[in-house]
Amino acid sequence: MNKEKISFQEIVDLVASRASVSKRATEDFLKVFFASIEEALMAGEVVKVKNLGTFKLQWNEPRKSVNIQTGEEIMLAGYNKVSFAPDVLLKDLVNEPFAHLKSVQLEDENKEEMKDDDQTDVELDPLRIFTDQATEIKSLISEIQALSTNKLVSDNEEMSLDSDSIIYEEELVKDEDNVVDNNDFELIKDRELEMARELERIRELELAKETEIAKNKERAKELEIALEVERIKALELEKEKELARNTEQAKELEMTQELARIKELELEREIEEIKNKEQAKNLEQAHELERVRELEQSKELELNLKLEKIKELERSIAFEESKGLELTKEIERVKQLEQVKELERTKALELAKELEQVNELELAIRLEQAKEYELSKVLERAKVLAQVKEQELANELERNKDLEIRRIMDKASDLNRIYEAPIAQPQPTVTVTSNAYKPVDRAQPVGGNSVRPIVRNAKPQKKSKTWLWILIISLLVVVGSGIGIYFLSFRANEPTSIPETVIVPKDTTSLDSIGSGKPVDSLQILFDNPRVYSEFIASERLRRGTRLTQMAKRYYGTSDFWVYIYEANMKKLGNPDKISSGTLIRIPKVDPRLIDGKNPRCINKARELHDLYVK
Amino acid sequence: MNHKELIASMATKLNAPKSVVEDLLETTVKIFTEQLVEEKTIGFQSFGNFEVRKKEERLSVHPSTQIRTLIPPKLVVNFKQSNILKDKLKDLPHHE
Repeated sequence: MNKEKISFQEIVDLVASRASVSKRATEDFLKVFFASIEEALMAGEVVKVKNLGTFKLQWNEPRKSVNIQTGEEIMLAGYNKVSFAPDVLLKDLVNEPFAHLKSVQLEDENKEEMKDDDQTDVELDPLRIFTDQATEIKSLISEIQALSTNKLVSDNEEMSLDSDSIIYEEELVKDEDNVVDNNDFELIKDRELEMARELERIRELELAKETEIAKNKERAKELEIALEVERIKALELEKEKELARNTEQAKELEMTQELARIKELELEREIEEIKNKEQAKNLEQAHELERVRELEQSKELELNLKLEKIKELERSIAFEESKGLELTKEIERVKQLEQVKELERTKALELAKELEQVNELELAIRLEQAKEYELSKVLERAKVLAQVKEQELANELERNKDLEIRRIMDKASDLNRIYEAPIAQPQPTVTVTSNAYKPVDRAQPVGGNSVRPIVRNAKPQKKSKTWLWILIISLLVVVGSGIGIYFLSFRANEPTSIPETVIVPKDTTSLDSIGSGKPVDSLQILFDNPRVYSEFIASERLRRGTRLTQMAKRYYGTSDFWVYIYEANMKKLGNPDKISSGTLIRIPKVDPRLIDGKNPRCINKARELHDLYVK
Repeated sequence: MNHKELIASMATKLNAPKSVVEDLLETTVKIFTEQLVEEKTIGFQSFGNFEVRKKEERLSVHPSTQIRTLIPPKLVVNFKQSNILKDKLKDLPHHE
């Protein structure tokens, strides 16, 4: 490995020459480069440099270690380490020399099979070779044996030659014997001795020859053995060579097989990669589709909400329109009533005064459209009461009249008794006047005593006991009507029931409107005063999609009153259009008069507040 | 901090336009890679050393499937921080 080290200066030179910038500038640049990486790392950030890699801080935990010399345990302090992960490009470029190598999966089963194959190959071949060699050896041995037999033959031949010579000699000796027979016996004996000696020699020679032959045989055998050994050695060498060849071949085979496998694996991997990519693409597409669907759903939800809002608005508009229609109708009715009243003015001056008051009050009624519902009820009640009272009054009057008439009659009869017929005429007029005054006297103290204390009592109770008012009003009306009737009765002694019924409601309305005028003021005060939220009905945690208006609808019945919830939680919520989920808000207890959904004033007030906060 | 942010911060420090800084950084990175491809070690005293290390081939056994894989040798870029940088980082509180 070429482990040359390049210094900072060299890098500076290279960069400067390449970028054609001054060395100083490049030096500064490189210093700033490392300084800024360092800075970012110190701030706990990950630094990514394109085509180079990522720098990251890594905390190495403190760990135990052992001092090699003393065997003591030491604690190595933890430290921060800058880990550098090279970019894919850099990685590939650096690893180019080994890029062609791929990791190989080794399968145990295959390997074993491979080994078996090799072994069988190797085993089979030597067997063949062995048999071949064995045959060769046999042939060789036979050759050797053949050679050795030849030798033996030659020896025998020699031997035969020798024997021939011996025979020849013997013949010669015999010839000589035959010749010598004629000579001395001693000589024969000598010859016999010589012969014996010669025989002995021959025997010795034969023995020597035999030994020689044996030796030769032994030598031949030795030679054979040596040859055999040499042959075997040669064969063994050959075998070894062949084995080596076989193993080489096997190795080659292995290599080729491995290569084939590697290729297959590569192919499989590529296929897998392609599949993975496709799957990833599919997944991405699926994700995108899901996202799109989610977006669509959210949009739909938003649209639905908007539609609901619009519907609510439409409903409220329709409600207002219907109210407006009702108002116009009511105004028309009031006008009609006014006309009736005008007609009545002409009938009586006193009534005219009352009518003026009524008109004024009716103007107030126009403004106070809210209480109309109640008013109509009140009117009905008042009418009923008034009728009852009228009937009572009429009854009383009749009784009084009867009583007076009886008295008058009594008096008249007395007078008749005293003064006889002529004086009877002027007295009824007197009695009539007295009749006229007496009920008035009665009525006035009754009215005076009953009305004033009740009024005093009624003031603090105001609305809660409107029926008291109604009673008072009806009493007043009754009194007033009684007076009116008595005044009218001067002109004509008819109990004018129709005008009374007309007056009664007017009176009640007028007084009632006064009664309801005060709570309206208090409502105004409620509106004007800053609201203090001290009591709470409930607390809720905002979730995704929850709206203050929905809560208002749940707790107060009308969504417009969400502003009061908002007022109570203003600090927590901030912008009412961007309420964050998870915040705990409390639902305040609001004065029920403020959150009267039927009262348009309350709704108007809430809308004013809405405009104030939403802006 | 990604590439763009790095360039921006460097540009402000050097008082140079971003484009110039970007070009310079590109050339430096190129030279770095060239040097590393030649298996040369790049040393910066204040920062650390970039060097190429050879990872020898090894046999890995998958712990669950027991598949044995022969992993070929490879050349890897290694960064070793300098002691100066290590000391600087010592002051940093570590987050677990």
